[in-house]
Amino acid sequence: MSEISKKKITRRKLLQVSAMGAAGAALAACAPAAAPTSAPAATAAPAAAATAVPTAPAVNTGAKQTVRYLSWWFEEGNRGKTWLSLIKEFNDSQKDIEVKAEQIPFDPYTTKTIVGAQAGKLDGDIIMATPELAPRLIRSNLLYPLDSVISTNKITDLSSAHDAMRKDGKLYGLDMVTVAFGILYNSKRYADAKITPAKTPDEWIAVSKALTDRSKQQYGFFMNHLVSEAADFWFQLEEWCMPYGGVWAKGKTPLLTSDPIIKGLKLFKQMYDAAIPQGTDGPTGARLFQTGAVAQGLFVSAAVGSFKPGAPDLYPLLRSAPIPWASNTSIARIHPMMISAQSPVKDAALQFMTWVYKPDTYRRMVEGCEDVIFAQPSAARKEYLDNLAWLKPGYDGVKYITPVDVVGDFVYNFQELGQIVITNFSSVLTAGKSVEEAMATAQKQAEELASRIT
Amino acid sequence: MTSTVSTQLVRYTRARDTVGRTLLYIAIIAVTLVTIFPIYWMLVSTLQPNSYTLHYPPPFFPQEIRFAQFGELFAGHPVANWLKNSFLIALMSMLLCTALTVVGAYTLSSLRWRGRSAFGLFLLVTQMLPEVLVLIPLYIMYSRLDLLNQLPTLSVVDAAFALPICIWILKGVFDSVPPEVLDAALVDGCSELSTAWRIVLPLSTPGLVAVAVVAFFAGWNEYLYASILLGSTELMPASVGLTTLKGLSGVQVEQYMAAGMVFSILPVVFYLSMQRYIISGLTAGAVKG
Repeated sequence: MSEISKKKITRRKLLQVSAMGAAGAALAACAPAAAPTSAPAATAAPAAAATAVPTAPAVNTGAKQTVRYLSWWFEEGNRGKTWLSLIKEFNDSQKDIEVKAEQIPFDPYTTKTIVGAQAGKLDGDIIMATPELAPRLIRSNLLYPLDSVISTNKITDLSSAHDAMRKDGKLYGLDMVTVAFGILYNSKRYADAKITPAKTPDEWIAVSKALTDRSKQQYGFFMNHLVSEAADFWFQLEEWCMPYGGVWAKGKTPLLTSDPIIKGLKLFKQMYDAAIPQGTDGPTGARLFQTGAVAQGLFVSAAVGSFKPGAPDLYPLLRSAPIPWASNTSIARIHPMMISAQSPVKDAALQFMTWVYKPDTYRRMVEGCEDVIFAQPSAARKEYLDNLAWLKPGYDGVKYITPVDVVGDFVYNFQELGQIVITNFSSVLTAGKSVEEAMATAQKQAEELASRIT
Repeated sequence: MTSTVSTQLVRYTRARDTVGRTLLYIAIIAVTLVTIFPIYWMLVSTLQPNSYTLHYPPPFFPQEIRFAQFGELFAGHPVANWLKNSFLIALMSMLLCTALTVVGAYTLSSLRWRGRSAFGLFLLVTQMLPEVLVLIPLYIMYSRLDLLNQLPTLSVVDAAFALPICIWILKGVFDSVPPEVLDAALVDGCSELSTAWRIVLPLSTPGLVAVAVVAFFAGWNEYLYASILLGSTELMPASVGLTTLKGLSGVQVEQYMAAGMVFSILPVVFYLSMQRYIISGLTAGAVKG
């Protein structure tokens, strides 16, 4: 640039121009901010909730208090409809409180909530958690105690799974759905192949093999098995410590080279070779199950109800197989509802939660979602459970343990442990490595991870 | 003798060139096929019913073509809203980033001040750090300012991440404007600002377009911050929203492939319409003399 120009412009002048430019650009950027509120009517409620957050009315103003209820399940078939219906019922009965459902897809929800916990401020007033997320949130001291919900509703049989929801004697989470792993099968496929459910791990492989004819696009079994779907893969692989009575870790000690884990993973490899449509991603596998191309799969109980609207032809054919290992044990996952201690409307949130946990409301919620494990066992109706053709024996009379029981202190770093296991195990599935070799590497990496767990 | 050797040399050279060119073409075709195949497969999976796609082995060419999946996609999911959000975020990001880039590039190109070179390098260094490093600090800042769950918030973040590279692109363009032209403008009575406005910016149009396109794509494609700073489905941009289709049991393969097609086509059209400016803008200032 010329010498003349260098002399004439000053920093002050430049700063003035910069400020004006930035202000103009910021104004331009802010102009379309109202866009989300002009959303289609069907989804207007979440948009309104999102824009209402910063100006949520204070408790004492006399204005209606907006409670933001964040979850991933408002678009999940029966569950979504049931929750939206309950929220409407509650809102209709209230003059001063309005609960707004905010749908956030599962993966972003988990990440966002963990980031919020690390940042010391959770987004939303009512928050749902997974079994792995709950301990992190409780430890973060960002939650509001819920003991009054239990005492107000005079609940005396709250499930023991809630013991993990307590800290310093106070209760911070109330289960809204406990899901359990089981083997769900298409009874028509079983009948066509003239076979009966397996009772041992070896029989399970044999049954799955008998149901498989790759040349005819028929597969005996499906579960997620791709590293590109890490969270789903680990979510299901977690159950494979069960067949031989193992656990992935005790406390901070990983047990990835222990005999039950090695045998469980070898069993999975056998299943992979014999019956799984290899390379198929989760949604495609689910679609193959819906069309009958896949005969059975490892499903959590909460997912079964979603087949009723999603695959109405398949739903009547669904049955559960007995747990094919001697311990008859499976993993059950508690999903607690929590309230942010920083919420400006936490009393209103507590009021909603107290209403939801009234035995009658709670029973309607569980039945509407077609769930089968009651956190308040006395709320369960025998007629309801007897009408679920798929319930027995795979999801009934099974001994349940929690993710904390199988991953120990790694529950605080659940996905990191999973990433280590599946990354190494995938080399067994696709690169011919032995399970022992892969898990020896994984064990070292998990031990390094353990040293970082606080 | 000399003539024979010369002829042989010519033949050898021609043969070598031919072989070299052939190998080059083979390499180009191979790379092109590897690059294009996923896009082709997305197109095939979009256009044919999923019964063909789910068949193993799947057919290489579409066996039946239908377009109903596009209608089903838009009717069953808020894809139009996600695309609108993406467009708004990208547009706001582009406007903000371009405005700030002009100021930043002019400062680095035209003004002499202590630490200028170091500052320029520092800008580049920020590009070498993973974005996730500042995720939690930014989340804290925006949550305390009650700016979570707002589209402009995300556009500011996107603009900030695109800003350093955009400044360097435009700085190269500003550097290439001949100083004689600027001196002439000043002699003719232009002030410093009007010289920048009337002379430098019009001469830098391709660079400005290139910067705008880079900023637009940064906003359009961003995923990480969109998934954290924006929450609900209603506010999601397409980059986040489309990934959620994969987890919904009712969504067919051809529908989320169609979603991918729609998400990809719009920026491609935008890029093609601006291609002439982009190439000249990105290369401006690369050669001086």
